[in-house]
Amino acid sequence: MVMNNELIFITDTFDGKISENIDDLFGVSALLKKHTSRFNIFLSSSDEVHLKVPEHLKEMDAVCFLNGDFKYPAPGLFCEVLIDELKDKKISCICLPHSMRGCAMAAKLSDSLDGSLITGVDRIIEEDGILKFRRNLMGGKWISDVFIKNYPLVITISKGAFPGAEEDMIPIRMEKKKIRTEKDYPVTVGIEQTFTDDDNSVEDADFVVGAGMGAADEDLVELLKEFAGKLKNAAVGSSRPLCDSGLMPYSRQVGETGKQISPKLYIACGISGSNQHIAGIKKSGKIIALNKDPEAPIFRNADIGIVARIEDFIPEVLEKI
Amino acid sequence: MKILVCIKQVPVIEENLELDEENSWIKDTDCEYRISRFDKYALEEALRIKESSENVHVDVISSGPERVRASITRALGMGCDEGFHIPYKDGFVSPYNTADLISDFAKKNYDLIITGIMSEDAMNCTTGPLIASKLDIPCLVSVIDSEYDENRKLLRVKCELEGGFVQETEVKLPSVITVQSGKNTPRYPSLSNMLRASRQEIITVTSGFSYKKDIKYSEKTSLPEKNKEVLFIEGDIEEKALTFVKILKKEGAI
Repeated sequence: MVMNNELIFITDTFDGKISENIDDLFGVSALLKKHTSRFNIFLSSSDEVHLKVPEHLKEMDAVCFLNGDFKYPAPGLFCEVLIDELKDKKISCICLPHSMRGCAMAAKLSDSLDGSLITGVDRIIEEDGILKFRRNLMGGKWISDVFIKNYPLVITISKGAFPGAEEDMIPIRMEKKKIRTEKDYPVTVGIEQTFTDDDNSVEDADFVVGAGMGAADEDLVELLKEFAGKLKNAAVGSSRPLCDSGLMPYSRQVGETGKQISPKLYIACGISGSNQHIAGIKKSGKIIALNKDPEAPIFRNADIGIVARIEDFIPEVLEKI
Repeated sequence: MKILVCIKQVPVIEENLELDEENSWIKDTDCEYRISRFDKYALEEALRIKESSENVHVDVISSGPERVRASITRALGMGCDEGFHIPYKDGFVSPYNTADLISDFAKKNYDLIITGIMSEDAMNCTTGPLIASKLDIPCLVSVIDSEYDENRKLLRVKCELEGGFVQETEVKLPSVITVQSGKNTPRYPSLSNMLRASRQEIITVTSGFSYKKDIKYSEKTSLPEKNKEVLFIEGDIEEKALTFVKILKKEGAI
């Protein structure tokens, strides 16, 4: 089934800054170009934003909705504005960044516009004119190819999944629409940062030892710290669940909701390899994975694999260093 | 104040799960199950609100086959007041179906509906927002902390954003929140609470929605391709360690 109507990108801003996820939205446009009559982008902001787009999107229509409440994300208000804007359009596809907020907006939009909904898309495959949208299940152990029959299609795009080709970035004119609303929406009363920029150790290190739930024990975390201590310019990072357990600070969290790092070498120890974590380590030079489960999804994203338990393997390694 | 916590029972994903012949879901539905991780945080959030305010009643609900009642019982053991079960098909159910069932049950009877940010198996991150959309009430996602202001009848929540930022928001009730893992540790039900909960009746809900396969799309589930061709280090533990140290030297790490 071929789509031939409008393709809509949607993203919000944070204190005047457009999310980095916009690069993935642009990357998707190249894949869907021949199925689309027209591109549009809608942004929300409290103040004017300047947008640059890849050369092939220079004819794109761009609208920025302005309201003081859009200084920080306000998905409820943004959705209401979008539904009003989009309800009379002929739309093939609406693309949003894959975040909790992006999924929430995608859900509201697909329900309101009676469309289809696919979140966390990390591949789009075309076979005989039919588009398949690939996403993950079971923490990355399975994949699902979804064929849609009902338009508009509303999708969220995984970060880093659709890098665009190298192109000149062209500034485009943006139409500004001021929004006023009578209805009650959730009100932002504060913004804070849970970890400060003081701890840049995982971003700055050449070698990062990632600790996962396979090291969910104080002694094992100490063991991995000792190991990292033997490496040059190394730091210990952590998966989200290990931070949740309190064994590692959130400043060391590597992944979709943590830090995205690019060390020369990433050594994942006792990490299952969920997509959320892989999103944070994709740009590593090389990935070595240590896990007791030979079926762990991490091995699909690793250059070198070691099937062993941390408590058996790392002491042997320390002896030999 | 009435709170409804929506929980999902999921297969233990660390186990080796084989696909069935139709490539639609798990072959062996007799595998082990548990409450989806983020739903435990949702339960904990509801129970914290209950403990910090007066006159808060917490209901827990789940849809699915008979086996999900074990998870509802566990939620009752954690401290929920009443448990509800919507009998429904086994296997994969789209978030649209689930949201229809829950919103049809909840209607306007709850001040706050709480779900986890996503389920561990399907990972859609949309059931909570779809419930909110169908009930036409606000939805705040990725909540890591909440506080009920009884005087102003609103909820103050902290939502996790990208880059380590947290957004503090006030929302009027009724509304839906989805809870992210982190700040609050889900409690283990004590043995005495579990004994009491096992004797408590779970109310069976007759749903107005019978299952119909989602006509909007079809899915084909499979095992993933490898993104890289991983090279496994062979040998016993000592041999593996030696090879590994050689690799570290070659990479300039030591």
